[in-house]
Amino acid sequence: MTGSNEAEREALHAEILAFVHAHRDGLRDDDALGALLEKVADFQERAIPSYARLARRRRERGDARLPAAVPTDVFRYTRLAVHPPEDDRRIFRTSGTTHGERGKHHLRDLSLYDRGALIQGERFLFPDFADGKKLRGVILAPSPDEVPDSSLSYMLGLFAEHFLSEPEFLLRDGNLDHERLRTLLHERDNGPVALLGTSFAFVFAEEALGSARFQLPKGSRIMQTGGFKGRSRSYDPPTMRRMLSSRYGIDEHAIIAEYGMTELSSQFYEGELRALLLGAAFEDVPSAEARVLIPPPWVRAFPVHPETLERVPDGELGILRIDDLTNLDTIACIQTSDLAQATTEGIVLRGRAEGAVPRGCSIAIEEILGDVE
Amino acid sequence: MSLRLVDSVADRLARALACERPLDRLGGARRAELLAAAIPRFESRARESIAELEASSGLKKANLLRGLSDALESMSLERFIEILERAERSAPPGTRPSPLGLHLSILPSNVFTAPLRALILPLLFGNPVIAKASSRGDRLAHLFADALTETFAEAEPALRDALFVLTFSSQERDLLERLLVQAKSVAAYGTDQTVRAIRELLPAQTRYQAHGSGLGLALMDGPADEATLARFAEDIIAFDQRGCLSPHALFTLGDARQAAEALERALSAASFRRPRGALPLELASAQLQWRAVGEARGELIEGHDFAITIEPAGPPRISPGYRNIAIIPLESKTEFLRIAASFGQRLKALGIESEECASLIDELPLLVSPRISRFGEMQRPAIDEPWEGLAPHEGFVLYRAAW
Repeated sequence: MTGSNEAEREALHAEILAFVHAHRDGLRDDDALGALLEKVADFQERAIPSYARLARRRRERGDARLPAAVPTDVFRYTRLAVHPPEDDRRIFRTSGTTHGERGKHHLRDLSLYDRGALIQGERFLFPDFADGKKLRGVILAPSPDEVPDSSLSYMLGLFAEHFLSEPEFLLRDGNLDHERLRTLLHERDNGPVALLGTSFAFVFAEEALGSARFQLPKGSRIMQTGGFKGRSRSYDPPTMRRMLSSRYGIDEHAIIAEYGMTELSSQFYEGELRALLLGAAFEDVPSAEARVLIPPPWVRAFPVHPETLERVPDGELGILRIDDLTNLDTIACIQTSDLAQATTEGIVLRGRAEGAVPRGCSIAIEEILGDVE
Repeated sequence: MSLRLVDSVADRLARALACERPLDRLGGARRAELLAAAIPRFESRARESIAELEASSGLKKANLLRGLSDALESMSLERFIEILERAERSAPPGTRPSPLGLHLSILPSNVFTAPLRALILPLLFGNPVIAKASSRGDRLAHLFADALTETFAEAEPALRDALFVLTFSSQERDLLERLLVQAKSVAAYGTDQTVRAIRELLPAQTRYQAHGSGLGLALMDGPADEATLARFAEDIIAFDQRGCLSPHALFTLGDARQAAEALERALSAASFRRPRGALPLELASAQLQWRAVGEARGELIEGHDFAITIEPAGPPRISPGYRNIAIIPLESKTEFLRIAASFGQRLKALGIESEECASLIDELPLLVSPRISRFGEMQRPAIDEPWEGLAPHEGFVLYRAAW
């Protein structure tokens, strides 16, 4: 990066940090967010040649109202970072494939990531544990030491450090320590538990725990994240919540999903736990079974039509675009393959767009490439 | 599960099973005659139902009509007789081919004409057929079943129940299991996951043909001339590149950019004559992801309803179909063989442009047996051709001692 770029980057960093801090209470100012996103995208377009090529083509096609969003597949094949490789402080990678490439998120600086993740974590997972109080932590995921390129493990490591007492990561070398899990969950006298993990680890636990049932102390909570892509079994969210509620003996409102992606620096959460703990009302639910994921105020998220890239009206199905202000050193505007509907509070996920392949002997890309995520 | 559907399935199973003996006794030549007689009737119905087929298949009319005429081209009495004779010639000494009995076909829906082969071949060898169609593409199968049932009803009334097409959801597992336990042979088209799941439900003695996921590749060793790439464009636009014989990448030993530019001209012309059908949301999303990598690399050529990317050398980045094709430069044919072999049995078609390329097939590993064809012929398999390395009669006959 040149000296002038460096100065511009530092100025933007300060501006973003100030924006995140100013909106830590969850209140949104989408006009200010839009203006700052424009500045960040412009900076990134000047610094990242492949983003510049993509943005130029989008403008040539007349699509210039918003900064160009980069589809996530591009992260698998092209380096997307404003800084040179030697300045990478951390690289988060998407799950692997045997034949294809893994998406990479090159981070030069984790300060924006950390700030955003902790604000969101405190707001949606630990709103009742502010001021340095800590909650017992049981984590069904590998530790950040075991998988330093997993953004999820990194975030859980942050939570372990800031919100949890005696946290234990129970997924090691791909195996769940279910005996330890039983022991920890039976320790009722030690107070409520935060049970955090990937959706598939919870499914592992379901199988490993057999007929065991638990009654977690009042104030306990569960956060699950990630889908079932490439897995042999999958559960829809309401089924998963019912299963967890029955297994661990806690209210379904205390079971929430987190949504994040390797290519992003920010996370979305369901608001039910916060509402339960603080007595707030969440009425923006399109159906009894669907839950809304709430983005932080420094993120703009909306579904678009996959051909026109136009925003679809609220309630209609489109593919989710996410503009994340805290992705300063990579790409702020990301186009996912997740199907979603917008609501006034946030978005409702409706699965992944790759899933539907017409029946027949035709190509099923994930199968052909031997996805082993 | 609907009780009416359960009753209907039970009734149909009983009626189809009752056709086993009369269909066998009819003899191959007569079955071939009746099947051949049903083809014009079916074709006429299909042409009358073109609007419904458009809705059901998602293809545009011009592409539908071309796909229909290509598929029916080889469906003649002579070809049917030739298939039967080849089965006779393949019989071990002292045996003759006999039907296995009730055949269950889990039909494909990605290529709207693909059910024809799946229905005709088992019937030709004397096996009554119950077919499960998907609601996403069942119209053609029903039209053929109606045409054949009418033909049988007029000529051989005892056989009017020899073919029945059922449309029900894959979620109706109990219904599918009822059919699977009664069938003597089963053929399933679907993703690898689907065909594996069906295998697990089958009784041990049932013959099973699993047609899992697959794709086509193409190899060009000559110059990128307009005529060659015009023929290749036909392979891409047929069935909107949704079949397992559809090419997803063209490997070239020549100039990749020159090939891409010539292919762009060919696809523009071909797409004008036979435009692409509507793009489902899921596929549009996959297309956006796939094209964006080319955009970011500066190697994307987009037309009205197609796109070409020029990829770096190496294994292909598989396109989502729907007229998206990768062109990949090659250093040598050996490199191509390595890449082709890496797809294993999933490589179902190989398009070539020279005799020298055709000889490459001999160098592929034994289990990799794609259909080899010239450009322009990749998606026009004749009914008497082998399919996935199997002769047309395989899976439908049992060789019994000839008394």
